Amino acid sequence: MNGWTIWLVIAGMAVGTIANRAALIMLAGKFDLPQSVQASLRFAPAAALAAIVVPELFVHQGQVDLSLHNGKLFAGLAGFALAMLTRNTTLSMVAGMLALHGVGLLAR
Amino acid sequence: MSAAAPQLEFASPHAAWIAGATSVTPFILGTIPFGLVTGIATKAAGLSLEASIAMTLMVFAGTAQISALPLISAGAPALVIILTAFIVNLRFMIYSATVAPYFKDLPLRWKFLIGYFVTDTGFALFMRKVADRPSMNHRHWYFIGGGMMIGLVWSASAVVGIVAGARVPASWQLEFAATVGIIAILAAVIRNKADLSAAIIGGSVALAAMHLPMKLGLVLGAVAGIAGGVLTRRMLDRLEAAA
Repeated sequence: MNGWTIWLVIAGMAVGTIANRAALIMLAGKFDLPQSVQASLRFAPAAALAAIVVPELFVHQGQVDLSLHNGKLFAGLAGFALAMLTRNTTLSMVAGMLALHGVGLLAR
Repeated sequence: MSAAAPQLEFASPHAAWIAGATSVTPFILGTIPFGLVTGIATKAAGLSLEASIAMTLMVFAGTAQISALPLISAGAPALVIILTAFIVNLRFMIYSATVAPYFKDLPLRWKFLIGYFVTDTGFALFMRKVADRPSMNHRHWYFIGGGMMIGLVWSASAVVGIVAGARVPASWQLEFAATVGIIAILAAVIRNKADLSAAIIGGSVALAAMHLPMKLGLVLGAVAGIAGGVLTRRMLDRLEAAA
């Protein structure tokens, strides 16, 4: 990513985040988000996070790879299982990193 | 005294601010390591020191930040990264819609400030506090206190992580910490069958559409996942009503 693009990304993310956070508070009394829209937005984090992470894990060197050579897949699944069990984000991140290096050694 | 008189929970704005700030302290122990790892992963994604720190302080949203990192590493178009961060942050819109009635009589600059300090933890604690005190006095100070404390601790830990991350060799593959972080947050937001369905559909569609130009498969996956979650919820409700 070249020099100025990253600053464009940062500015865009900052504006998008403050819009999400502040818009409805600033519009309070003038505009209310319909209940049905609020109910749909509930699913945004699960849907978006999965959409980012699934291709990230399953695709290795441009194609779907379920072999041990794709260490990210196994490390990611280990992290997911641990997070489901413990609900501890940091612990899962550390364990996932260790698993990545563990699978890397196995696949050699 | 009228029935609508505020309950005098706090003696002063200052007392309310302190109470809000201390309400989040039990959660700081979780915020510090998450901030550190976010900082390390940000630097590992290839951002310069200045860009890493600017992103942390200006975006001020950990989940959006770690979601953007793999996309930045992969060279996704700016618009797709910005859109993805926006979708991940749509949960803030629900939080702000929920707290908005409590702040509707404040001046606009106060509303903006409150919006800036909407956080997952701060929101949850505020709602618990006002549940049985709907007209609590100085509640905007209480809200800001919690948000500022979380924000300060998170930003400081992330900056420490960025500086530390700059000294770590690339062979440690620390950029993967962002991916596992997203996975861990995903696990935390899946609380029922409809959430699970949103995640499975979102992930599958994104994978199937991965060859679309400009990483648009990701946006398509997110939208399909939301629709899938809504439909699943509707179906489950109908089944329950029929039973």
